[in-house]
Amino acid sequence: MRLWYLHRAVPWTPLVGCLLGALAMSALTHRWPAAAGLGMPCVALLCAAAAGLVHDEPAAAVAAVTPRAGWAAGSRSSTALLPLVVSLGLLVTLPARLHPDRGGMALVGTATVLIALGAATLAAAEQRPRPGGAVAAGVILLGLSPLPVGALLDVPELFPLGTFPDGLRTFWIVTAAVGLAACLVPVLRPSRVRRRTAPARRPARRRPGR
Amino acid sequence: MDTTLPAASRAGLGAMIAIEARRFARHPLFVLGALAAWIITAVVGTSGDQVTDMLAWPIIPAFFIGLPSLVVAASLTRSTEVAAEAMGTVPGTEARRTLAVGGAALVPLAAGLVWLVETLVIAAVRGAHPNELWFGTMDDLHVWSLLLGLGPVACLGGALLGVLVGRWLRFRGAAAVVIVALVALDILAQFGTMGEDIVANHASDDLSVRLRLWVPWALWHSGSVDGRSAVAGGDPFWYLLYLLALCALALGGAVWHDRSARSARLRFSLSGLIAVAACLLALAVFAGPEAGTVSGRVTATSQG
Repeated sequence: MRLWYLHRAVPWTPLVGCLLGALAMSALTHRWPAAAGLGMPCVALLCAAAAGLVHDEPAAAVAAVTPRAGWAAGSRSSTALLPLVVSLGLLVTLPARLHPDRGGMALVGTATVLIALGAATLAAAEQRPRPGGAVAAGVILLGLSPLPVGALLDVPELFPLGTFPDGLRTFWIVTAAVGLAACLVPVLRPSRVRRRTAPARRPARRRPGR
Repeated sequence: MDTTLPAASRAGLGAMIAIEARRFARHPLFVLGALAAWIITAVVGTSGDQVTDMLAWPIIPAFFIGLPSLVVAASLTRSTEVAAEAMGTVPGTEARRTLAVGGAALVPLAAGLVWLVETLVIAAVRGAHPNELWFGTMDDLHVWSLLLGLGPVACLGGALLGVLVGRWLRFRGAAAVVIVALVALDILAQFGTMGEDIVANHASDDLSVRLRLWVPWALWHSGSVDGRSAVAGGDPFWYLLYLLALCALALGGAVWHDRSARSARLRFSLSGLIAVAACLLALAVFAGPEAGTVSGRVTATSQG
């Protein structure tokens, strides 16, 4: 039942398209390691964009009041395991000649996927239909923004190729924790979601003579 | 009550543009991007002992206004079809709705012009170093062309590309994928042609450096390398016109999506635009100065 639901509900074409894009960027990095400064963030961000798409539901307001609403959201979130696995696989297998910090890379992959999934989960809990496009664009714009700023200002790199400094590691751990917390909000506080979906109460009509 | 706008009048299109422009200007992504661009420029302009590499600054509006505008325009373009799918009642034809969102691209252009004014004010207040590649050390027309083309026109182009994406790419997350593709294409197509090499080689007249100009946002300024910087060869003025032709092509390509609008006149206009863009690119590559310009040492540390 869940597999049937996921097969029909999750937008697989754009999700797989994002993952193929990440695969292409990874191949490019392997072919031209000098381009890793751009390729590595793109791999992580495209996988995160794919995770942001799993909660796209065209009829969010209708689906929210059906009995399946609880397990449907959890099932959709579990689909994000696919982009997470792809992200970790691609980032951890970066060419050894780039001396990547594999632990740091795994952290980046996990944090970017979790934060995108968390944003999409929260938007879906607020019954926003199809939040994936906005989440994907937001994650990619935010993730790439250090590139132009770094060209003009001395700002720390978010996606370093070498060793991750402690401060940056902490930043990514906090990002992953925030993302995870956002993913768990609908589970831990379902009443908030239910309140939004409950129909407005009509005032009781007084019967004449009472 | 009549809920549609007049289909044929010019006033109707103006009203539609005004509506879309208001929606564009109120979109949170656009507002945040524009604010980020202005604030980051202010920080860059006020940090350090002196302002340097000012011709590299247009990357800020191009990224923080142009790319969010791409997402916003794609979203607005798709949103105009919701009523058509649901009820079949929409203002005007698809081509007119496309033109309306295209007209709203004047909003990011205006935001880019505000950024340009901010940059000029910073330069006037803090003063440019005598060796800085700026007005006085370069042809004024070239400086204006670089500032306009890589800043405000890039903001306009981002929005018009968003209209094109909104019309032709219907899958979810299309704008995000196009952003990654655009950034990757733009950087990788110029890979190795700019940076330290161009300063070390005294802005060489290598043709491969000038052939990078086909990309929609070309790097011209090398950034400081040991206190010196360079502007690559090619003609910035023709490049600015080439970018404007690309903008017109993006809008024309979006209008072309409407089958009922595919008139002989539109086909002729688009063919002409492609030819004009090719000519302008050729002029930018071959008609401009072959070798670039290398500045003298600019940073205070290097002067000593």
